[in-house]
Amino acid sequence: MKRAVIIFSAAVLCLTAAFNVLFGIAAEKAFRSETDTVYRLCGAFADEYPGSEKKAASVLAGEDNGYTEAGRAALAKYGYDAERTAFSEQRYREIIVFEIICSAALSGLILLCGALYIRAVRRERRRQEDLIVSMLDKCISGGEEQTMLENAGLIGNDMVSDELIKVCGAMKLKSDTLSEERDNTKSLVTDISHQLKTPLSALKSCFAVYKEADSIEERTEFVNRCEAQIDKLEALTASLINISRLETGIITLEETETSVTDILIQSINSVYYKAADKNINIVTEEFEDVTVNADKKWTAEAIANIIDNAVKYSPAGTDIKLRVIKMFSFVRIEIEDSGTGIPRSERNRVFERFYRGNSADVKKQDGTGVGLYLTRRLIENQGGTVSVRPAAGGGSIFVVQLML
Amino acid sequence: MKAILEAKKLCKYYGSGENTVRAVDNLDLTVYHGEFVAIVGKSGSGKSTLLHLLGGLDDPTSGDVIIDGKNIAGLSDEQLAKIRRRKIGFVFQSYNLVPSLNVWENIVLPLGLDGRKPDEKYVKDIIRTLGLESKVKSMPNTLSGGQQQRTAIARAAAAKPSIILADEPTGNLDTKTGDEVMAMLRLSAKKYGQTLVVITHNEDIAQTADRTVVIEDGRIAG
Repeated sequence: MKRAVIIFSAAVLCLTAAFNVLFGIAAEKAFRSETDTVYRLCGAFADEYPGSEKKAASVLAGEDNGYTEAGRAALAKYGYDAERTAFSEQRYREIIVFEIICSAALSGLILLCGALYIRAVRRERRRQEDLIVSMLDKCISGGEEQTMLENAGLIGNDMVSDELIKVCGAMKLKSDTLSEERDNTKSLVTDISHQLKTPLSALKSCFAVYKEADSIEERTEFVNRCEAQIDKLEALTASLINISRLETGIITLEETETSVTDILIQSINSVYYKAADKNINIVTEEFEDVTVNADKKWTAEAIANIIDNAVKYSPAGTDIKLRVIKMFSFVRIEIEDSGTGIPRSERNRVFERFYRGNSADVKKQDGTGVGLYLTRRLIENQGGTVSVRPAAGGGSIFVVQLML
Repeated sequence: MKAILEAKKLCKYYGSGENTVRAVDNLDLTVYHGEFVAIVGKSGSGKSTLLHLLGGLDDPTSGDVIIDGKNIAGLSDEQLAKIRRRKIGFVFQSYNLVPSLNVWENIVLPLGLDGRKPDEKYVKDIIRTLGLESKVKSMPNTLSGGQQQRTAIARAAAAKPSIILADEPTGNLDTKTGDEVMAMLRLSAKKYGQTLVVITHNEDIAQTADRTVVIEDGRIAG
């Protein structure tokens, strides 16, 4: 592009120079013939009137004395009239015609080049537009990445092509996320059916035994067992409903200015009786209240799940400590228990759906493997994080970070 | 899922003969678009070398690194620098801010190097997300470690890269600040659709990642 402009300018300059030289030569020739005429005239007069060259010299030096008029009148008789223009003299005519042709040719050339250039630019632009459009088309229909990259390489501007590839990538990511979500829903349905199956078959067998039972004691026992299974089923369905609501987007988290104290009070209230039953104290270190941008109900539920676990896996009579620390952009809520602790290998897995620990202590307790999964989803959907690390005393510290 | 960063049979050896150190040894890794991957390993496991190779900061002994479909082997330094500036944001343990520039200037510096004008709205949004609004005019030496690292994160995100590579981003920070910085990294990566690769020796830090890759003796373990 830059080179083309340089070559073109140089060519125009060369041509102009050449024309000027030719034009100068023609003008020079015309001038020579003019002076030759003067010489001839002077020669003729000197021949006729010797000594008149002095007068001729003074006339040539610019003196007029009415000679111009006199000369014109004298020559008019011989057809050398006053209406004569430069154009009627052949030599001048040649120069003028030559000059007209040259400038016409030069401007024609420049116009032609300009037109060609504009056409080339238009064509290039159309080619790039076509490429971009075809790339976008492919991107919409989910085309092959390789052809996309090849196409992008053909676009002259690599910033544009980089951006296009990014756009296509982002779109692909969205569609991938969509299909992933569909797969998630499928696996959710499978998971839920499996979860429901176990307590249901337990219930069924309890009921069968109850029907066949001989003694009153046996009946009462199995009625109680049935009841226990029904309770379990009820709790399970309640959390499953929450999960499926969250996964299918029925729960919309409404983030409003909420005080952390309010959230904590709500969470603690929902587990208070369980804790009191086990004589577990929930101790909150003093803190200055902060407001966070969060959904009060669901954030409280998320934290309640953590405290509920802490109560479940802590020995009776111990303390659960809550700490609230205001950071720069997040508020950090720590929930420390003196429970069984979580082995390193399971620390990340406890947040997985339906995951339950492998130790005997965990197996002993009722649980569905839903609570912490729900907690993580609820917190992360609001831009926060939740993680767990071992406490100094052997228990666990759950760390929830909520955006301020 | 679309792979955005791939390592194929990647090797980096130092020394020769009996003294050969295999920092990265025949390693295959695929990172998908939009993922948050934590690469965890003890010091000396080769994780930092791996990150340098993935980011095109170092040449592998053999094997390929493919960034967004483009093999970076055999690219000229200039081409490589261009890819690094446009596709990758780096966050280092020691922040690597320019001490003579203020926070805003540090954040838009890589854009300037690339001859691009900063997208002011976007950069301001990042600054707000990272809680640096009141600090834009401050010089780095007046900031706390956490603030400096957040400035570094903003700088990495400002060029709208597809990938953010972070090498021990919380290494110089206390636990609480480290947790917050990780939450920030995660938040800004999710918000701006960036893929995040974090290298750390701290497994607790890695918990918030979508996927954890454990590296031992230059190979992926397990």
